[in-house]
Amino acid sequence: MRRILLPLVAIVVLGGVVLSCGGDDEGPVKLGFLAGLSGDYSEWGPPSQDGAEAAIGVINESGGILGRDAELVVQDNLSTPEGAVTGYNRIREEIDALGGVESDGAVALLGTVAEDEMPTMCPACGTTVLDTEGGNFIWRITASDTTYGIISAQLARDLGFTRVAMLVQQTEGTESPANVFKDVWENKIGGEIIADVRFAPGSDSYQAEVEQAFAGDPEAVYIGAGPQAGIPILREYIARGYDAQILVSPDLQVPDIAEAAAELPTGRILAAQVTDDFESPAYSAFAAAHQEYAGKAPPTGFYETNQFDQYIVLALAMTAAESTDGPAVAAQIYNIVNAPGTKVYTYADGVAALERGEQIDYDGPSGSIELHTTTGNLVSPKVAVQHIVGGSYTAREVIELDASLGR
Amino acid sequence: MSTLAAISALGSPTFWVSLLTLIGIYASVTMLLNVESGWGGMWDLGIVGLLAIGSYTYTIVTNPPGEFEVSYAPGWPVWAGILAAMLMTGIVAFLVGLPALRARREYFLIITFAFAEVFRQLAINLGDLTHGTVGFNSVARPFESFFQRDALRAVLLVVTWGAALLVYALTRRISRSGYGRALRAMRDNEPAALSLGIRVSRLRLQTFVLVGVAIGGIAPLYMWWLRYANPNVFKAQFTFTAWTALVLGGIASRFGPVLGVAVLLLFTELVELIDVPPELRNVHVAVHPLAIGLLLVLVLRFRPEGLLSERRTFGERARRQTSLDVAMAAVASRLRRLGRGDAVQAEAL
Repeated sequence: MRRILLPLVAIVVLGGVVLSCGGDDEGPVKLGFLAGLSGDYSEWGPPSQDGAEAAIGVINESGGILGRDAELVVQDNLSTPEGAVTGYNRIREEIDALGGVESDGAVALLGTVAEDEMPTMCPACGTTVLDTEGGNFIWRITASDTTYGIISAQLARDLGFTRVAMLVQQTEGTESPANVFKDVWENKIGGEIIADVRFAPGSDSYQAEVEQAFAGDPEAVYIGAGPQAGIPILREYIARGYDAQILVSPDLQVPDIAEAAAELPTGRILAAQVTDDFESPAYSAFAAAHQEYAGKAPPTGFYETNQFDQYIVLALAMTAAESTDGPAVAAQIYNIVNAPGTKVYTYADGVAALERGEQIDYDGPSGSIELHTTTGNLVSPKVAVQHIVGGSYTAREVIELDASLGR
Repeated sequence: MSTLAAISALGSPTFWVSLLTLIGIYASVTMLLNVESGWGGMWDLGIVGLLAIGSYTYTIVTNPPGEFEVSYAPGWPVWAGILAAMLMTGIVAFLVGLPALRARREYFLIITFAFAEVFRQLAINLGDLTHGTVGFNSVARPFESFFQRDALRAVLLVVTWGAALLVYALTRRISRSGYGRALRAMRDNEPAALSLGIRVSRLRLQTFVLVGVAIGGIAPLYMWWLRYANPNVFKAQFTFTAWTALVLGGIASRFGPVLGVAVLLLFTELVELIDVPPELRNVHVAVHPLAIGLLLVLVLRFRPEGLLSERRTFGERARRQTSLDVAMAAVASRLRRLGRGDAVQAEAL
């Protein structure tokens, strides 16, 4: 027993002693990037990281943050909540702010980052949990699953459909928008759901589920799934020769899905996805930075502009706060992104305006980053209808959210 | 400019507190897995299912009313939540054990694996109770009103290792008792054990329920660490990690599960912390599981019984005891305890 007790006592003492250590205020300002580089989110990982690297490059090119270099501290969260907690604890002492987080990780860390007073940006979180629970130390700069659900229902209504089926994978990221879609479709629009098929991911084939969803000859089918399930479902749809309109969830807006559906007529598959502001001067600056630091033109649909914007916002907030202290930075976030203030589109312009003593209103390549001050969510995320042309997703039109469908 | 967290994380207090807490939790679960699988021969691939039952029970009963849109949130205190989790996992283990324990080895393994997935699907589909795929992002923790942030984490580290110590003491006691010897006898030669009067069916069920109850006690610790109950948390990965650690540390050895967990999780972290240039990050991510597999292969190649062996644990040096020896020892122990004969007579059997 003594052999066991001694290491245990050592562990406890170590735990107590090391906690008294403090952080590092010298050297570079370290910005955490905690994302799924492996696992379910790995398809989004590298392009997201490219967006983040471009932001760090731009910040350093413009003189850094408070005269210090910015440094990206990359952590893989394995696309799991446990990986997010472990990954965050690996870098927590080292970083001044956190970004890159996805839905699962954000929800798992919600209480912890608030407790740690760690400014945290969610550039790719759709989770409905953040509809009400962010705003103090965690902000979401992309659309919520609630928005996606409403927009998809609105799209189906505008296309004149009345009978819709649903085929939805049972994971948080896919069920959240699907449940909103169903609620809005039935209760606000008055449409009919003729089949609501839910399935567990991980199968090789989804023949039975596809059969159930399409059996009632629906006019349109809402498919909420990840790419791994989405590809066999689409192959089954093509093989059976169905012609119902397909509306897909954001998780299916990846190149693999577009390639799998390349032979379908243009417009057969529609998706509502947050879109970039391509006309903004911020976008051209972002595209140049992406080319320079990632060595390629930016793709679309991987939240790369949101990844870029989160670090620009954090860096501007640090500049405005003249500090990297968590609460001080958090207190400046709304001052940086919300009106009133001088409209700025780049980090350099933002720093210059702050140095002149002006209040600023930053809009980035992802569009307006106006945030609700109570929830930390985007006031009006820009969403476009995407369809597949020649094996790749293409933005068709920007659609405005119908306020009457809001929940 | 960017770096991986790299070596600087090794000097981070939060990193160590978090990692050591996680090691404590996995160590407790793996020691319990060792009781039923290592000594009892019940290859349980559904340990995460019991952990899920315990975690959800604790979280649901301690949730304050109105915080989540669920039908049942009584807001019990933490201690009541722990007791409820232990009770519920015990009941579920009993109900699962009744049919599952009729099967042996790989059949039992498949059944327990399936039950774990059934529990996960229930967590997804009983949304009115479990909050469905969203889960609970707020979990009641003890001592929150007494300690702030880092101090609370250190306290929970102490509590976790206190629990691990208790589990170790329990398994140590079992290993030295007639009960433990009966378990090993049953594992090595069930007909012989039966012929010597060991009530195998009852012993298996008792052990399965005992482990279930104890897992229920560990589950809240996992929730305090993770602070998130969601069906995705309770995938088979948890079970595989515990099994890998058990094989690594030495199946059926007493301290092997703790050592296995420590080596596995520390090794995993070190591999994760290797600094690589950005262009090699995808390779690094891909190599990660490969490195862990390689570690396992190396250990099994050079120490087939694991880092610590059962023989060493039980002082079996000269030769490996036959199953009959183990069975005899178990019976001798029973006879001594029941006063039906002295030890000499028992050995003479």
